[in-house]
Amino acid sequence: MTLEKQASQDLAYPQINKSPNPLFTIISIMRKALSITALFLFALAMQAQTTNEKFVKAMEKALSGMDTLKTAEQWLAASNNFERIAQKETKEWLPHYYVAFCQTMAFNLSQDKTMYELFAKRADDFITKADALNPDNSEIYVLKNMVSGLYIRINPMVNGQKYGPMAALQLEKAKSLDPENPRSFMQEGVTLLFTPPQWGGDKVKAKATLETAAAKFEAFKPASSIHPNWGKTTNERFLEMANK
Amino acid sequence: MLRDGDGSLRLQTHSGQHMKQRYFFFFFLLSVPLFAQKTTVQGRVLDKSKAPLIGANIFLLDTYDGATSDAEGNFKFDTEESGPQVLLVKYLGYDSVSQQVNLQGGVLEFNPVLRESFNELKVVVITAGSFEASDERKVTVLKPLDIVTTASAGGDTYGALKTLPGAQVSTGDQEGLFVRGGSGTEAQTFIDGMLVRTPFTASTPDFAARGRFSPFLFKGTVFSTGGYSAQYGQGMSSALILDSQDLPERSAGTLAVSCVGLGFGQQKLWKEKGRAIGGSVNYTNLGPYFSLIQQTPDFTHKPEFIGTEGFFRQKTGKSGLLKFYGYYNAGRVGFNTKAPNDSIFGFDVKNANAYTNLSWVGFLNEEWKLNLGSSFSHDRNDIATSYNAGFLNPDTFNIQNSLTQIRAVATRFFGRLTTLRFGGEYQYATDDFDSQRGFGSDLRDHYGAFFAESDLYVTTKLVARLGLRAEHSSLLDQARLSPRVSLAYKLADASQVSFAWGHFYQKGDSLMRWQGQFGGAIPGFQKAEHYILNYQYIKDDRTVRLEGFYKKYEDLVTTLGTLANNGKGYAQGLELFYRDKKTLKGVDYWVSYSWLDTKRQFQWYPSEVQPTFAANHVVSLVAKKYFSKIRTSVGMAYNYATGRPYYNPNPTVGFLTERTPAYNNLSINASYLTMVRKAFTVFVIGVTNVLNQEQVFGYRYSSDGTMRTAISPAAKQFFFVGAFFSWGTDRRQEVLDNQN
Repeated sequence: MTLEKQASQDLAYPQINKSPNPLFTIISIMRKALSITALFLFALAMQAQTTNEKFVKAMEKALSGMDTLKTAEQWLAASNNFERIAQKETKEWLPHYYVAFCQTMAFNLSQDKTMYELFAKRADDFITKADALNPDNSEIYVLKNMVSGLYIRINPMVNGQKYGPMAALQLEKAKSLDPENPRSFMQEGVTLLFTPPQWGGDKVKAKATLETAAAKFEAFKPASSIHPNWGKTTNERFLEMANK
Repeated sequence: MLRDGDGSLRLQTHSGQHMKQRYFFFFFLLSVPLFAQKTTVQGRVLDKSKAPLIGANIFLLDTYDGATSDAEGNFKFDTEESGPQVLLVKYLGYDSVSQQVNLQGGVLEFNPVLRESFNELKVVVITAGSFEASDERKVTVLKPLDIVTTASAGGDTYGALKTLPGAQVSTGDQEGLFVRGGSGTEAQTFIDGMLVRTPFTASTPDFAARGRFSPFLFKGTVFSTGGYSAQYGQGMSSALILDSQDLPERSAGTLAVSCVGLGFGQQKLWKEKGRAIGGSVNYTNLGPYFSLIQQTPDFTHKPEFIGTEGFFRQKTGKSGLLKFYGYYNAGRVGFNTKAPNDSIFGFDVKNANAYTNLSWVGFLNEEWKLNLGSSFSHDRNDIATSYNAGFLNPDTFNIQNSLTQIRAVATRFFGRLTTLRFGGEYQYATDDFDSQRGFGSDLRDHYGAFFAESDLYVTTKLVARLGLRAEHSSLLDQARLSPRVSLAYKLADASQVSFAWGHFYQKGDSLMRWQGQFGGAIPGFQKAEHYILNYQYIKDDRTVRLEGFYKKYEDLVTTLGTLANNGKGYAQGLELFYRDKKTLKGVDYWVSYSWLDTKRQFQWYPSEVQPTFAANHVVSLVAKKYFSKIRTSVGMAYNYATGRPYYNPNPTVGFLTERTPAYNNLSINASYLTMVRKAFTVFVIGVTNVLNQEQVFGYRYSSDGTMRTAISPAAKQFFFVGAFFSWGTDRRQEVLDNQN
């Protein structure tokens, strides 16, 4: 290319080394700032997304295999998993809920009477925390009812007067908060099944309630992969007992 | 490509494009994690005795990373965290352990040793000479409900305590608890630390007095048969230590209807404010019952009582509780009974009793607790007697006494177990006795005491309680120092031995009224020295308790000639208590056997002999069974005691050498639990002396000694029917909120 042609090409483009328009500068700075902010926010969102994913993954891992747990020791190990998550995620109700759930299951399977009070107290502490984090939650009230049941079993004469009426009210609230929750019907059915007739037990009514629970279990869709979704097989087992 | 003013070439990017490149790299740095290093944390969790702990939770604080220890106590987990972290170990029933660590990849060994948390089931307790009934403590022999449901007790705390070892069961003609050879006045009652002057209802001859206060008022009861704490005094044989209830569970109304009276109560709880108020009114009239069931005495005024109680409880600050209790009761009983040689012995008493108790307990901080209390009581009896023969003449008496006291106790905690308690109390007691025939007495006493006591836990298995009490009485013008020592050692998981020793002083009580009559000075403090050794085994719903004791009495008040402290005596014995809630299905029973060998010279006794209120062998069998299908609890109590000495004035018979026939009493009761509308209801029926056996507490002789009548209960059998209703008066949401 000749010198003349290069010079004419240069002249075709706008002059850049002219001192820039101030408005232009401001706009361009703002654009840069916005994009930086956008990038930061994006990065932050990515972090949060990652953290939430980590939480869900850890919960899913802790929940896997819960159907196969058979001994009190196994339930306590599961409880430990949830407790680790709970101590980090102090604002999440689900890990606290599951600690209370595992302690309740451990109580049911344990032969060691001296530990009963400790299980009941721990379950009570954790479900209370869960309730504080997520009040008016049907699942939490079902578990509260189960925890009241533990106290009654520890000492029926002394605790029955306090926890008996409490348990009934907790179950009522669970049902009214979510009429589709199958677990509240299952708890109601189980209570009717195992209470002596003079205290209000009724095998016929128990069967009907458990059947309603079974139907609701079929229809139930949990809010997420880590929301409570247990009890279907247990309900079937109790229904068998009610049919005898 | 552009040229700068100086001619150098510059890469042009579209507005901000080269900025994007820079920040993209920055963003890349932010979002992509640094290359992670993995650390493996592993180890073994053991307890102090090197045994593995299974199921412990070992994890990094504020992460999900962790593991559960296996059957050998081993654990292993990987973590991508790095740098300074905190490792935590948690295990139910044990104290948590935390450890600062620095994670730098590779393997980190961690072998924590965990210490058992304070578990009152595993800690040794001083049990020598002490029976505790409490819902709060786990290792107790009785629960308050046991006291209420004992068949022969009729809902009376003292009636139930009589079935425990150490207490006499066949003293139905007198007021009080007769413990290990001691008279009824030697057992003192304390409510929230303060002495109760008149814990029994109006004292009428030949009638067993009942306790004034309902057992439901108390959350804890310690029945001490000797060797009790330096905090309490003026009971040579026994202390009944009652703790009143704290805030009630809920607002409620109660109604009691029975064959002997009615009662109605209300209580309101403001849970958020930590406040509760309650009151009740009771009316008892045995008239209708006596019309149906014949009684031996001829009642001129059938027993009638009206009473009211009230309480106020308020939480103060974070840990304080202020409690007020007030009680007022007025009653009247009048009867004529046959005296020997067919004369009539008439007795009529009008009683009015007021008792108030104000106490405050609070924790000043983690280490200091303070108990403050004050109490006022006033009791008045207007008595008219008629005895138309011999040396006793018809007379009217007016007996009044009052007690005002204040008390303060400070407790210092050293760790979880060892404590130091010290405090003081001041009691102002008045006793006014007036008889129409001219004899009267006015006694005033300023009594002060200081005490200090320490529970030293050498280990969780060995504890020593050392105490010292200093007392002074202005009326007696004497001071005394009482050392009190108890030791307890846990032999194994479920068994322990305990020892107690101490000096116990007591004023001469109502005998001092006769000082004007007999001459002489006001008698000084009486003294008892206790030695007690106890073995206890509690496991799996079975309790075995074996206790031996020796008591030496000195300076007992004698009234022979003049009023003096010339009396002395001893009491020794062995007691066995066995309780079983397991062997027989659904049956809860206990057997208690007491062997007592005691002699004393006191009051008007001319020599050292077995006193009239002591039976050598006492056996009680109490059993209960709950039939859940019919929601009914059935109970029985069988009490047996060998004969008691009685006074036969005939000169040919040795002093107090004869014995009444043995005492037998089989009682049964049943309670049926149900709901009536919204009220939790209990229907109770009970009969004492089902087998209608003769019970003779002693004999009353004519002045010439030729004739006698037996001192027996007013009626051989007592029937009781009653219903108790309790209903919550909360709105439902309050009940739900109350659980937290």
